Amino acid sequence: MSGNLEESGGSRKFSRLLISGFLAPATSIYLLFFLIPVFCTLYISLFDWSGFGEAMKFVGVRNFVRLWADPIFWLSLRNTFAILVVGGAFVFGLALLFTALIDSGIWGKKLFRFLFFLPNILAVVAVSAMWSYIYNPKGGLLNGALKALGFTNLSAFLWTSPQHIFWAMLVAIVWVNTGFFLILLLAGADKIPRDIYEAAELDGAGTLKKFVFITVPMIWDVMVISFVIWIIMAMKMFEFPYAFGLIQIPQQLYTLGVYLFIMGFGHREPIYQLGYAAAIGVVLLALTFSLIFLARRLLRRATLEF
Amino acid sequence: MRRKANLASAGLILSALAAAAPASAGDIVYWSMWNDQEPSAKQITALAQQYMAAHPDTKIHITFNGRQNQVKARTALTGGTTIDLIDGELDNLAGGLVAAGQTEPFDALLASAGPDGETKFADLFLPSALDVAKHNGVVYQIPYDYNPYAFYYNRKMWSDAGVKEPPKTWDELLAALEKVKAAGHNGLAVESDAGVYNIKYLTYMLERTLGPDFLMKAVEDKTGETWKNPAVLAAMKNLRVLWDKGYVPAESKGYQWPAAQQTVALGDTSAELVGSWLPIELADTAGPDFQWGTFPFPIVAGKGDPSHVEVLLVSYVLLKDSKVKPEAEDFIKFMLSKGSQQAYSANALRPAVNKSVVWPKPLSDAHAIATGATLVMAEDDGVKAKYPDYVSNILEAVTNKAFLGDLTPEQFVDELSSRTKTYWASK
Repeated sequence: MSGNLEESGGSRKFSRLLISGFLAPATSIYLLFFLIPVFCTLYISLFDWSGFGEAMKFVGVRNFVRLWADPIFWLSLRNTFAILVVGGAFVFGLALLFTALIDSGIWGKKLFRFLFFLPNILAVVAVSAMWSYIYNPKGGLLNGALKALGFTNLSAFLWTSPQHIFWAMLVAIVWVNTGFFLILLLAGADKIPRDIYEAAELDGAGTLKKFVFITVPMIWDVMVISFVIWIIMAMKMFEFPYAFGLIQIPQQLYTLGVYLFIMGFGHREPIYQLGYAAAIGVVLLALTFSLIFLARRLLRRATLEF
Repeated sequence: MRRKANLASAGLILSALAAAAPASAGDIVYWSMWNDQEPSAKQITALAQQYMAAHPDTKIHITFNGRQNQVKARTALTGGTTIDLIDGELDNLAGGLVAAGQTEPFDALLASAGPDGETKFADLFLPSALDVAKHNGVVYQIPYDYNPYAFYYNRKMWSDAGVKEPPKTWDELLAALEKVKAAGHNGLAVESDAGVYNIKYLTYMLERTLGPDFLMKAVEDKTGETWKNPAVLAAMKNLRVLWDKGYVPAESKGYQWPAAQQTVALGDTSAELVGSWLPIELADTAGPDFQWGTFPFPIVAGKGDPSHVEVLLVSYVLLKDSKVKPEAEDFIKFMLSKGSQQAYSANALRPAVNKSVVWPKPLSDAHAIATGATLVMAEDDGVKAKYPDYVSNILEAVTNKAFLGDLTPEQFVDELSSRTKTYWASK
């Protein structure tokens, strides 16, 4: 008996060692490429430093004070939140709608899933170039279609003028991301046992009721994870505005990620304020963590097991 | 301090290690701003091979990094990678490596004999080209590619519209554009997102009416009051006429680069205020028969000098930690020699800085502007290199807003004045 216990204890110890061994490479990489750079960023944010040479001037929290009074920082923050909230509402609204429709047993489920996911396998530069063509005031697809349909006044609308370019970009961002979250939600919905739906149908539930009272509660965990992923994606949004801005990213498209890049790495101008850019990065990280924490707290529900 | 910098850059070092190129003693490590598929890159590679064939003891390791070359070099240098020679846009290098004191002065090299028998190496450059390569009175950059900002236009379209001579005054320009418009064409190509091009309307207009030093004075005035000079208001009012009269088509406000410049190639629009890369970028669409003409920004209300030219130069810097300075300097001389520059210009269709070189045919008018220049101005009259964050966050953004009509000229002046004051307060 005691021999079995000892054997079992030794086996557990071996198991733990084995698990630790397997986790070690990933942990080391995580430490090396994430945690250490995070602390380095925090450290750099306390300095005035161009990144050239070793002349770093300690400025304490002055970079953060400067951020507070910087109108471009607030503009970038406002745009980032607009992507997060307005874009998020449309991304998840559409993803849930399509989940309900595709999961209702319609023909061609796999085809629709593929079509909606398609934008995610295209290069961001190609997608943004395509949207620029769609919005082109002269000969663009959108205005051309509107004109052909007889909407003459609307066909002269300048979708990418400075007043509208942010919202034009947001439509494109929603178009790209809806498919990704649709796939996540559909994967969750696919795991729901069919007999639950059948029982609901016998009780007279329609598509909407089944979706609201069965699908949504049973994929809640997937939805929470999807929200968290969206928060991260929206907060660090960089590549789409960068590609959509082409020759020069207009300030109307600045996100925190774009502004960090402009201030730390330059684009058209030789701005090399690495300390200031690091301060933007620190604020971005703190905001992202806070939002994730908040989302997880607010969306916490008892887990359904099936 | 060294330990501090090393600690701070720990994350950057990893990427630098990946980018480090193996080089033996005596080899030149050269990082370039071109992309390897660009004609310039191919020509630079060909010239480097020619140089190595003539100098078997020297090897040149070229890395084509694209336009973020200097940023990549910054990371690599912080990580300890050896780089000897870097090329890039002159103003970007001036605001980066040169301003940080990382580069070697070239005054002694320029005083030495030139590659084609010139008494001084400095003698081979186009007029005043080296003036903008100075930092605190010392030349730290050797330009090799020279792009004047000017109006690039469809000569045949203008001729057919009845404009036989390029305009010399602002009023003549408006009259020419009126004729082009009457002939059924658009006057000027403008993209709403290309603030970096659109600002040239303002910088030239201010240079012509208030002189080449005004812009820097206005930016450096911590009270912002200099912007309230009535000529600034008049300048923006003049520019808005281009839109109000329909010389810039209304849909331009929705154009994203390169939508508007394509309309020049397609024969819808007659001209664009831009750098000399336009005919090269549009060569495939415009075709070989397109007749390019170029004229400088005209004088305004009898003021200004059209031989004052704003330019974008591409230049070399030599890193001060380089162990192969003599070899790198010799290679620079070779690249600036008439033979190398002529090959570069002809094969890559680029405007060379060596004054003995003939530019490609579409740039022949631009070449005349370069050879006749009495004052060469850096981008945004030097403000871009000295105060890049001001240019990016304030000057270009506010100017573009007003140019596109989202601010009135009066609001433009007030906005520039107040933002300038805030800018300096935050410093």
